[in-house]
Amino acid sequence: MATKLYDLSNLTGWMSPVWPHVTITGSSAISPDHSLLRAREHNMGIYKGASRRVSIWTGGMHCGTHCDAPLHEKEGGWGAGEIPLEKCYGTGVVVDFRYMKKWDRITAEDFEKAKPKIEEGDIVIINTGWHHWWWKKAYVYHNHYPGLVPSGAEWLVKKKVKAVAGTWGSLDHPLAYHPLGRDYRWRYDEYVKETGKDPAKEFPDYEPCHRILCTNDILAVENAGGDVDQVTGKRCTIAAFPFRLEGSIGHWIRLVAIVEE
Amino acid sequence: MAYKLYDLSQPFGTGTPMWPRWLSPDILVGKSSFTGITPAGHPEFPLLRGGGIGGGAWVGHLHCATHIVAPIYCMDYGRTLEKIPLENCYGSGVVVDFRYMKKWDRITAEDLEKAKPKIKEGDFVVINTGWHKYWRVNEYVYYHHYPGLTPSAAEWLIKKKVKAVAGTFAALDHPLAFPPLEKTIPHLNVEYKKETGKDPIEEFPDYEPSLTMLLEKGVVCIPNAGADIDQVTGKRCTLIAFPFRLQEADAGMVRLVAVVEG
Repeated sequence: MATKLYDLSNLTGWMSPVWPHVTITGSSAISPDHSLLRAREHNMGIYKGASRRVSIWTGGMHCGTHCDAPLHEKEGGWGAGEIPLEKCYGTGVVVDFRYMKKWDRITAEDFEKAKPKIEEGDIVIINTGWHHWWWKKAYVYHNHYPGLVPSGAEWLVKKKVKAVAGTWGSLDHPLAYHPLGRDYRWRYDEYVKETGKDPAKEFPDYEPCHRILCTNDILAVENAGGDVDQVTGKRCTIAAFPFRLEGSIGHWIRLVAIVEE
Repeated sequence: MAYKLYDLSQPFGTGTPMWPRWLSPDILVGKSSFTGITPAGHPEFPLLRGGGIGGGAWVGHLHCATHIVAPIYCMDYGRTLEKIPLENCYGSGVVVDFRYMKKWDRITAEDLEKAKPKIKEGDFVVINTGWHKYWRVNEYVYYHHYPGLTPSAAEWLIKKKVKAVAGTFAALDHPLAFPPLEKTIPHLNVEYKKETGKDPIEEFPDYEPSLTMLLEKGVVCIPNAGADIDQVTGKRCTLIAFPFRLQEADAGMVRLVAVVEG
């Protein structure tokens, strides 16, 4: 039996899309849009013509394919580097929600009937199909993806899943950023115009799924993608090990599916 | 099948030990930009609730703690981090025991030849020099005295077609193989001359020869391994070290994990 590896991570760089956050303080601290990889030659008196390239990364690491650690929502919770390795590796399923459309809500019911069946202790990868917009149309990618709603998150907690990853811009539905009218005005206006409904009434909470998953010590991954279509509908081994930085609410990871063929 | 996971990666954070004269990354904690202005859980400002790094920023290079060095570090035409094939970062391998080695010992082809368990073709090789016990304990000893690879060892590993080399050493090369040492690490130059009466530039005439050779052949190189490595030393197991997919990066911190069946 041969082992095949599938990359479920999106290419990330200093120009890749970041969450469109409007901050109160004016600093774009969650997803800095001024991330930069500055390459420079490193010559510490090296002789024989040798030189080294050592780049400096300036910016957040909470972008691209990254995890959200329990510490994101839970004071004193595990940071990304402190999550037990057992939570980051194991059997999982890649479920197919590619039939979903703009602003669709991922609910408990969707998980209940998902194929392959989600088992207790699984690592669950959710393919919404939205990774096709990654680095193609940042607006659609970050504002329209089908998103998790509290009933879905609670279902995952009840199933005792180890980790959840998705081809989404965030663990929460794009409208679940109350007060949306203040912080994401363009999204608010678009929703009101298209549906005639008030987001403040339909999504009255701020990032509820973040809270539900993180406070229950579930490793969560945002912006999954890569070759996820090639393993969608399969049961396989998933590896999602964050590097061992202390006190991090979340940072880059390589999400990989290990398939025995 | 039952398995157990072992962490072979060193923890790091603010003020983490770094290679001599390399700057530590500046880790800006983003917490204060939100919770500093309103109490956590305020209904109007329900932003960051946990606090911690990640809401902040990293200013520094990515050669930090347990990391993969990408070939472009040494060669203009080398692969960058995100282009390293995943297959080279995963597979069966061995953790060999060189803990009998002492300060400045040289790891040679001979040592690898007689290593136990036997190193096989295509292996992911992890070398335990025992030096990880100085991580965050004695930075000077950690970075200046570790037993290091010599070119004969690198050649042997290339001949064996190993896919990756990780080790509890601060660099793939011997600490003295950074000539001209009187410029690059002057205090080490003085120390070596004083202790041995020899001139390091005669004994180690090339700059990072082992790393350069290994990277030219596409071998994945991982310095600063450690943590629970002693628990798997002498074992054959599956090793995992997938780097993050950052465009154009010349290195990246990585979680090195051993999966032991049974």
